[in-house]
Amino acid sequence: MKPDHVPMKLKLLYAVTALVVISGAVLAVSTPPEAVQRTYARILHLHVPSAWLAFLAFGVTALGSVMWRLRRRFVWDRLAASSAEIGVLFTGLAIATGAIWGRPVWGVFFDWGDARMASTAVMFLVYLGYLALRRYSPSPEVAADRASILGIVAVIQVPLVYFSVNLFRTLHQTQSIRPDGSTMDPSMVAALLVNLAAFTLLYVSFLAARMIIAREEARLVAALPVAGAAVISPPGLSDA
Amino acid sequence: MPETAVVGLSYAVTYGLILWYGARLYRRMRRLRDRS
Repeated sequence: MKPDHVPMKLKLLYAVTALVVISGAVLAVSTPPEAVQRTYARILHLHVPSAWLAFLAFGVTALGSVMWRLRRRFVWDRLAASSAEIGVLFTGLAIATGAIWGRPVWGVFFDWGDARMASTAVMFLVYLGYLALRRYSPSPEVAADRASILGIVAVIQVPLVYFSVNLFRTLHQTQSIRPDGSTMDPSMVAALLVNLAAFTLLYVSFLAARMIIAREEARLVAALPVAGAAVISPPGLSDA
Repeated sequence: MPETAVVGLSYAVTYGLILWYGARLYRRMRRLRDRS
């Protein structure tokens, strides 16, 4: 399939994603102001879905890494790499929106003493390292082998980041939605759920596009003549 | 900085980055199409 021939199913996915993202944004800005944080609480509808996507993306990277080691099929490696790239984007967004929110309500953009902020920043840096490791590996197979080890090991950070607010009582609050109920107004919960769905659809759309690009790029690289082949085996000299 | 400006900044950063990444993927797809 050529990259411009986007299947109908994908086009439909992109259309539904755009619709849900717009609905989510409208719902988020129309939620009532929160009792303590007033309008600032509306950043929640961007910050929480971004963090959720980071967890989802790095979980998928770990799954792709495990499957690469088991099956040695490049589609799993492409899944891991594509998901990690999107995960880095949304981790960056979670940190950025958290900083913009933190300054007026906590008085700081960022605090290395806070368990959630510090662990998220470390996770961001580790997955940036994952992308760099892939880029500076000599061949696709070596890149997949090296990256899969990091992809499997680094996923341990996901539960650590999530439970860091329960393990260490620092600046960041604990979860607002828990199995025993929610501390939020139902209208805010509804807007948050729509935005979680919107961001998840964004992730799936980006992942599908990124995987098509990765596959086509791999095909182009494979079609290139091997550098140095003419020097090693010049035509007409092999029988000499 | 007024509250709405802070919230607006967070929305601009988020949707701006999402649009930038989407446009980047689109451009890469176009470039691949032109090469193939």
